[in-house]
Amino acid sequence: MAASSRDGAGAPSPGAPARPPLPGGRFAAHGSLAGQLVRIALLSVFTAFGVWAVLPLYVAGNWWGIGLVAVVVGLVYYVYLSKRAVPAKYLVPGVVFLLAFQILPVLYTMSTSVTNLSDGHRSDKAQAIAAIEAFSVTRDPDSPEYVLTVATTGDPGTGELAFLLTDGEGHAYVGTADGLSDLSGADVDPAGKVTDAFGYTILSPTEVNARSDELQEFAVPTGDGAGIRSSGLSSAFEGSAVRVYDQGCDCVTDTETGEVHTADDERGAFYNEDGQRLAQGWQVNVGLDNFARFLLNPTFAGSFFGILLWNLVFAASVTGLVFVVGLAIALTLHVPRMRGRVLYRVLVILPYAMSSLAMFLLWRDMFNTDFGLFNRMLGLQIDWLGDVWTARAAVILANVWLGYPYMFLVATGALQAIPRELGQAAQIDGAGPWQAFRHVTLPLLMVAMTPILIATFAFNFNNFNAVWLITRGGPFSPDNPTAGGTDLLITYTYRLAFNEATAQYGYAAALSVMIFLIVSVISVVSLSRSKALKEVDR
Amino acid sequence: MRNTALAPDAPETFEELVEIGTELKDAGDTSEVLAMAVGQEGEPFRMNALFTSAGGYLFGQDDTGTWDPTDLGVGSDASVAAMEKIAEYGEDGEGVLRRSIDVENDANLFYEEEAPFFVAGPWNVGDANEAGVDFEISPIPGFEGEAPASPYIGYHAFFVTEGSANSALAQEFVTNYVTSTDFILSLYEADPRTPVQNEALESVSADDATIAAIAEAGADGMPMPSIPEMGETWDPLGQAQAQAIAGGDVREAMEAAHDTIAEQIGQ
Repeated sequence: MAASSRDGAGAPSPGAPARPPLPGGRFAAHGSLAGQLVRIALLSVFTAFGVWAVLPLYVAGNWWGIGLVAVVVGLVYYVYLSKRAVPAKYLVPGVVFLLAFQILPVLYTMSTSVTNLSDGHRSDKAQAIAAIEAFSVTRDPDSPEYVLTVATTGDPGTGELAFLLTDGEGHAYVGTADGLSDLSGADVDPAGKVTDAFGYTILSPTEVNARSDELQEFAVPTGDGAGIRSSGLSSAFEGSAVRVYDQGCDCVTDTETGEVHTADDERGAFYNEDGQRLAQGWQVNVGLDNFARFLLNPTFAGSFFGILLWNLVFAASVTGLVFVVGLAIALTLHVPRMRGRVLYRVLVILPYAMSSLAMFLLWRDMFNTDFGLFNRMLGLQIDWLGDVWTARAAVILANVWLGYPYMFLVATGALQAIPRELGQAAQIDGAGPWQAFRHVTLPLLMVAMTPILIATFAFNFNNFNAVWLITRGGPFSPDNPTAGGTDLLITYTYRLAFNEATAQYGYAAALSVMIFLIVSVISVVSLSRSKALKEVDR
Repeated sequence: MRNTALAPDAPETFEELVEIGTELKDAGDTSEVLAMAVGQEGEPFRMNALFTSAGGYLFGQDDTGTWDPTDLGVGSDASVAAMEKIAEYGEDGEGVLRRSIDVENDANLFYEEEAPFFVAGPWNVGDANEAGVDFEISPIPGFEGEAPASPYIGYHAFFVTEGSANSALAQEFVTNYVTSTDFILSLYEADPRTPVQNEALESVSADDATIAAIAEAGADGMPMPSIPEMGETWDPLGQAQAQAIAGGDVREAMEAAHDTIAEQIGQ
């Protein structure tokens, strides 16, 4: 804070070279007291955020993360306390947010897309092996169930664990990592819990819980690979792991059937000779397999390109229609002699003001064959959402209804900015209304509208809600239940990657990267081809 | 659920249900025979009762009741025949089962007395009481001369997540407390669902006729197959069933669903 109060004096340091005036430079040099206070307050809040972000990273031992936070905080301090970095003062927040919320997620998605991250491939190999062994522990037949009291021979937090066990006949044992032996002279309560035993400290439930991880691993060996394991805090049973991992052959052997599953580090799971795998696998790098899966597999490729085509048609027709409808209404309400324009404008904006989620569901119900508004009002029996083309029309219709008010708003604003004199001048030169609109108003309008149209296209290209809430991608043809008639790439991705049983993050990430590339290419090409935007840049 | 004002007696068979419902519909008392959600995507969860009665099956079971994921039955002749029988009541048949009835409007059809029968679940009981309909709960009837209808029985279970914090306390809770009758009863008091423990069920059923009726309706029911492969069946099977109801080629639809599921579960 000392540094910032010194800056507050605002006096240029003696001997500093004269600098050309920079935008905002005047304020930087002669900050008011209020400005100083705001700066100190914002930096304090930012520092607090930094500390808040570091704490969990420190607990997790993530030094890279801590370093990153420190660099960002340091950079922000430098930029906002230094008098030299004036342009950066304006750019840093935007750049930081761009990096954090745009670039990082894209990079993370890309890095995920070359892995097999999915259910059954979430952890590393060591955890998978531990899970396989733990999952295969079965209670030995005819083995007694013990009442368990967890104790230790030393300090409650660190001493070696010992199981004080009583069987159904009230006989007491002590089990340690070395084996099972008789326990004499212990006090046992009626439920079978040991309340006091010489040489052992009995742990309270909280103390046992603090050592949960050890307890999971702990087994009192009883020979032949069997062991007494805990089941909660107060019971224990004798059982053995049926599946045992052997580092020598890098395989898991079933001790009952003798079946061997060998580790496949390319696919991240244990496979037997017949190609059957164990459920618990681990995450590995699979290169471009996820991409190859839908580009080269004939079934997926056919669906993919069919859906891509419809996706383009959908986004283009929704964008075109909302533009035409929105602009038409904006032009109508732009006529100066029209009465009640404010009221009309409010009414037109209403669909935009309502929750689109609820609206999509409402539209879905209006398209119901027997109970829907459309068929009832028009006396029709059209299976709107059951036929591919009517379903596509329904999705576009609902989306246009929800989308045109936004286009209307933008067009109204842009129209206000175009001087009416231009249109009048065109009329004096002999242009008809259409010619005046086509050659004067529209080109000027497009300057403001083109970026909006590109954004609308990109948004509708990925308009998950519009399709998922109305048709869930359906209707489906009998020979292909994975790709529906109204599926967009994003809903198709969702169904393939996250259908109820298994989440396939790696595969979904690969599809997302494809969608990202398609939308980026379309946006960049249309932006660079658009002359309108060049005028904005000027 | 059955509207006792419209249909005083519980039907013994699905045919009888359709007959009673059709009489009411023809007389103008109701507009629907049965409120059973199908929807555009199908409802395999609800359809399972009729599907099993007509002889369909999803996965085979061995003698001990263990599910066998390698025995996928969606495209089997038995399952195709079952869906063909059900499709007789579909849109090209009796029109009792239709895709336009879905999970959004099925309950309202019953509450507004537009349908005398409703394939419902315990989650509908509260709303049904509020709607002021006189209703009774009875098992979903199976087809005449066929197996009894087996609706899915849902139940809540407690799992300890692998590698979770506080796993010792969580295991203790699950193994030694969740199983106690007092705990099950306190769950019932918090949310009146059918208790999953016989002692608790008996003590609750004595006072709560609805719970007793639900337990009875589920007597022929089956727990949903608890194998991971089950999750891959819902979407393809639902779509195939919706197509069968719509009047499409049943065999083609069921075999396509079979192939999709088989591919998803790696067969």
